[in-house]
Amino acid sequence: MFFILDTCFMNHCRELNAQDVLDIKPILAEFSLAITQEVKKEILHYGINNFMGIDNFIILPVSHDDYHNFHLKNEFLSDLDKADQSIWIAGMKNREKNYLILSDDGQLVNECQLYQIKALRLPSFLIFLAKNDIIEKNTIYKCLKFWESVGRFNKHDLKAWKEILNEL
Amino acid sequence: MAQINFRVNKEIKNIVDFISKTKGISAAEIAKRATLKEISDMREKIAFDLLKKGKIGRKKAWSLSGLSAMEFLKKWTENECEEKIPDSTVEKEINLIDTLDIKKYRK
Repeated sequence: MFFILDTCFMNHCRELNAQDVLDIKPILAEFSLAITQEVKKEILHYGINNFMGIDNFIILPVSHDDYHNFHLKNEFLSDLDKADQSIWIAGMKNREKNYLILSDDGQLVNECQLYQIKALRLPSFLIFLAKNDIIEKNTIYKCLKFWESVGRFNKHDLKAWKEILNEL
Repeated sequence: MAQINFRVNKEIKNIVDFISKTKGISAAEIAKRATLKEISDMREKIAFDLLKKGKIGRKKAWSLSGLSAMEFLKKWTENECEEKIPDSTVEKEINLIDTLDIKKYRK
C-alpha cells in the first residue's frame, strides 16, 4: 500500500516548488512512499534528496535475478534505463498489492499500462488528489499553465487534463 | 570500471607520446580526457535528437544527456521537446483514477 516514485516525477515536483507553483511535500508526506535502490542512487546523484528527504521511504528490492528474468521475457525493457526498469519490475512484482507508480516518464507509464501495472504521471496524480479534496482545482490549473509555458508535457495531454479538471 | 581499447596510426601515437612526456601525463590518461571531452559535447545533442525522433523516452534522454536535474529541464524547454507517446496514455490514466481508493495509500 504505497506510491512508488520515480526520479522524473520527483524532479518535476522539485521544479514546481522552485517556481513557487506548488509545494507537494506536505501532501506526499501523508502517504507511504517507496523507491527502488536504483532510483535512490539517482536521487542522491542529482541531489533531489535536498528537496525531499528519502530516509523514510520504503526501498523495494529488485535483484540481479529479477533483472535477468524480466529481461528474458520482456525485450522492451532494454529501451528503458536501469532505474526505470527497476520501477517497472517492482510494479510487476507488486501487482497484487495496493501500489501505484508515480512516474513522469511517458514511455514507462505507457509500458506499465500495457501490462496492467497501475501508473500515473504527476498531472493525473494531482487530479486524483483533487477528486479526493486534498488539493484545490485552482492549484492544478496553475500547474497546467506552468507546464504549458515550459512545454513539460504534450499539448494533447495538457488539453485532456484541463478538460477533466473542468468537469470536476 | 570498464575498459576501452582502440588503435591509432604510428604518427598519432608519436604525438600522444610527445604530449605525454611534455605534460607528465600517461598516454592512456590523455586518450581518456580527449574521449570524455568529446562525449560530453556529443551526448546532449544525441539525447535530444533521439528523444525528438521518439527513439528514446524522457528518462533515458536525461541519463544520456549527462545534464543535471535542473539543466535537463531548462534544455528540454529550449529544445521544445515532446515525448512521443500514444494519445491513449492520458485517457488510460484518467480511467485509472476512478478505480483508485486513496485511503489505501495513507500512512
